[in-house]
Amino acid sequence: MSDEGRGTRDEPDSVAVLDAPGAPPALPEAQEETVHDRLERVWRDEPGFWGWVTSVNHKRIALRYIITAFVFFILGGIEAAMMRAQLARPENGLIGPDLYNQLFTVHGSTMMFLFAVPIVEAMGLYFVPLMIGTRNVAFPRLNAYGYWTYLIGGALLYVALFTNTGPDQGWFSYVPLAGPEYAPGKRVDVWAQMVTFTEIAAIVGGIEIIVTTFKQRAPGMSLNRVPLFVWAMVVMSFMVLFAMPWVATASTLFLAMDRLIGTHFFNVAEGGDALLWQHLFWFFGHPEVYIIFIPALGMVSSIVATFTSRPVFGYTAMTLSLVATGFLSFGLWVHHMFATPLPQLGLSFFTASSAMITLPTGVQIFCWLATIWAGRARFATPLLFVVGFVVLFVFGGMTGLMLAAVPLDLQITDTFFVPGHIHYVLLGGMVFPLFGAFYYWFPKITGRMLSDRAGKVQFWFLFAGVNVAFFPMLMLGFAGMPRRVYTYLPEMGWGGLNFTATLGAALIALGVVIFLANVAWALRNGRLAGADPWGGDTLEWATSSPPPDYNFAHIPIVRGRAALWAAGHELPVVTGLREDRREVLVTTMLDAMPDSRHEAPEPTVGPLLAALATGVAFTVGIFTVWGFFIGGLLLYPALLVWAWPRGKKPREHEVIEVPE
Amino acid sequence: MTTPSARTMRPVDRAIGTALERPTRAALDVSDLPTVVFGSRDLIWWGTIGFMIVEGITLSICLIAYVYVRRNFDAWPPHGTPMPSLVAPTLSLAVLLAVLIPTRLFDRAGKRLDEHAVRLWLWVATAITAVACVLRFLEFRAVNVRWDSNAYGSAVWMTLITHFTLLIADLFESGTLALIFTLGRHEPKHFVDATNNAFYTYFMVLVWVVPYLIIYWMPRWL
Repeated sequence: MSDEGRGTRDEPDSVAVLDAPGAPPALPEAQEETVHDRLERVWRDEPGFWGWVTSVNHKRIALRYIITAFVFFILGGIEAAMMRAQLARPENGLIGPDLYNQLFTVHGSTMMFLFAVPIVEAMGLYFVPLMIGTRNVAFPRLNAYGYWTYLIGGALLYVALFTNTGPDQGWFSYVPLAGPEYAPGKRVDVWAQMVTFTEIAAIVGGIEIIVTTFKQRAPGMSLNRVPLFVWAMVVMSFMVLFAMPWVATASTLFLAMDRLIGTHFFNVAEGGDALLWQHLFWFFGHPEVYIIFIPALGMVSSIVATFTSRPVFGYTAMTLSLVATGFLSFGLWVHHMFATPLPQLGLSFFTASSAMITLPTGVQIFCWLATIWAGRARFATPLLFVVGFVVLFVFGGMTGLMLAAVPLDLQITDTFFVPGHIHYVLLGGMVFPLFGAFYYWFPKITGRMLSDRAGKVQFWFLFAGVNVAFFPMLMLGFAGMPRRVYTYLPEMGWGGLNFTATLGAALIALGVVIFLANVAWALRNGRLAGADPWGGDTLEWATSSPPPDYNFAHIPIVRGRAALWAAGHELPVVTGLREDRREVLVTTMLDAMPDSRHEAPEPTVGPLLAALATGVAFTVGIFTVWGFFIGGLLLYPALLVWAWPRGKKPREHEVIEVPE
Repeated sequence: MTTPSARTMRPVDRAIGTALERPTRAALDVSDLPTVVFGSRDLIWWGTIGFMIVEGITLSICLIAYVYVRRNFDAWPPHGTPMPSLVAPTLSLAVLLAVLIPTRLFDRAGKRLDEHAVRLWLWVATAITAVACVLRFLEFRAVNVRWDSNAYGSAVWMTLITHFTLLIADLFESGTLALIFTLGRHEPKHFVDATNNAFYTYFMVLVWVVPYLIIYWMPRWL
């Protein structure tokens, strides 16, 4: 195992030659200060409201994403609490069937589209540029556009819910129930366009993360030295690119158009096909689960390395497992459709592929366990959440294996077993690592430490809550209780388990309240963190907390997988990037050799205007097809504001290199 | 295990607000690197590939729907629906392919920083793309089916509409770039933008060959 440890330092060093004797000595302190001043002047946003709406700073935008997504997490949680209150006893009269339908649909849609994917992507948009040592994402204005689009989509869903137009067909929106015949009104259309907004934002974020990672890594960070967190984000981003268009097309172009202009994609009477929807939706929907889960694996790897003071065991196996999980997740979608008429061969194939995806996940879990075993584990709150993750995710994964078996699936499909399973894997597999990540990176984002003691209390509330809430759901599934019913009769005998599940939900809610209180307390009174409170190995810990607008005064040079542990006392850095304009260093894709200096865009209101035009297109498009034309016409001037050259900067320093 | 010793060497945290907490050592000077580069060395080239993936998949999904609903019909096109005409769609494809010529020319001109040629061929490409847009309007009538007639018509129309949005996006992009060069507002990076625009146009034009064959020829052959 010591091979791993040595590997971080003894690898052939591709930039060693640049670091030869005779290089200038440490930069003097006084010069450093003026560097900061100059960079600050170039990279800061304008103060006040205008600076807020025009900002293209990746940290500012990612933090907005994180906060907005967490607000949606709370709203989705309130919906869950309302449903659990209704189900706590048989024939409860708290909530009627119509509102209940809206609640479970909006709860599922919120957690999937407005919380889980945006928040993991936002963690990537915040930390990938810091971890790979650059100053901003590759396309900062596009990044801002993505956030505004997402915000409009989320607002649309909640305006609809509060005006009694909340979608009520379930978060996977099966036709014909969601079609024009059985769902008149505009509820389903709201859902379909909310999906459009969030998928645009997700795709945009995915492209940001891929291009930033491929082309803006610090010199020396060859692909085999990229932190596991960043690998996870890249795999997730590729999955977003390949999965999200399926649901966006199925909902915007097919379902919404069936409802708006009378196309017949899902209308059986005119040759359409209801199963087509299920195929298109789940070809997105299954990778979606892994889109949420894979970034969480990256967070776990970061936490495990830091809190065991050793690099994660089996870097190559870990990376290949992430990639393999990404590929395999596209071959599983039919296991959501076992109860539909499918050929026998198809059933067997998808059972096998569902079992197969446990292999790469198993490899990773064993690698983490080996790391914790061999390292010196410090059980601070983040690592505690990782342990909770392993326990809950392995358990949830087992229930997934049960669902992958066709005979068992046919018995328990559409029962409470399925929500029990998905909550085990998503809370265990994503929410636990996310809270661990919050405790781990909160000091970097805010400069202050969260209370570790409160964090441990929160952990135990959540851990107990998840088991008390969701284990009874598995049992209810076996007892035959269908999902998505607003009440049940006393003689079914489901009352006790439902009441227990509601108690569990209350424990989870308390855990979240403790977290919010901890944040509120820490923002004012938390201990100052300093640059590197945990002794982390990745580059974000080399800059101050919170990082300045330009991230690094000088781009670091990377000499091993654990960039900071390999760097020793003095961090070698890059000089020569311009300080009188926004410049980022572009490097080669495989070896991260310096290749060019790229001028990064400045703030503009264009992305907000473009998002508003997109908003007009898809919200007016709910009511009339002309909305798309109006929105399209508005989009063009917005894009001109976005991209029209300002032409006020001196150009004489440009160095153009044309291809031969 | 090297890490603990490395960690003990960690310097004491200094005051909050200093950008780089660790002592640093200048080890690599990049001031000689170029600021304007072409092709895969440029960031936007990579972003363009991302959008090609997404748009290619979207178009594929429309075609998957087309093939998927086909099994619900005895005849294809369905009984009572005439074959799509060939004249307007073929003309439309021919004009699209013609866009490739000026596109190739401003692509190459951009790479040798030839301002005059870039401007000229951008305008020519924009004009031909505009003609392709008009022909695409005629193409909607040439398919001989309405979007709300049956699932076949829906799939045909949605495939056409999806590609039409790419076509219009390209029209506006080329036109705006041509305007920037005409008004003299261009900076060195706009030569790179022109070549990236060409890169996208190649995709937008060539990707249409597949739907063209499926929509207009597959019903005749199979």
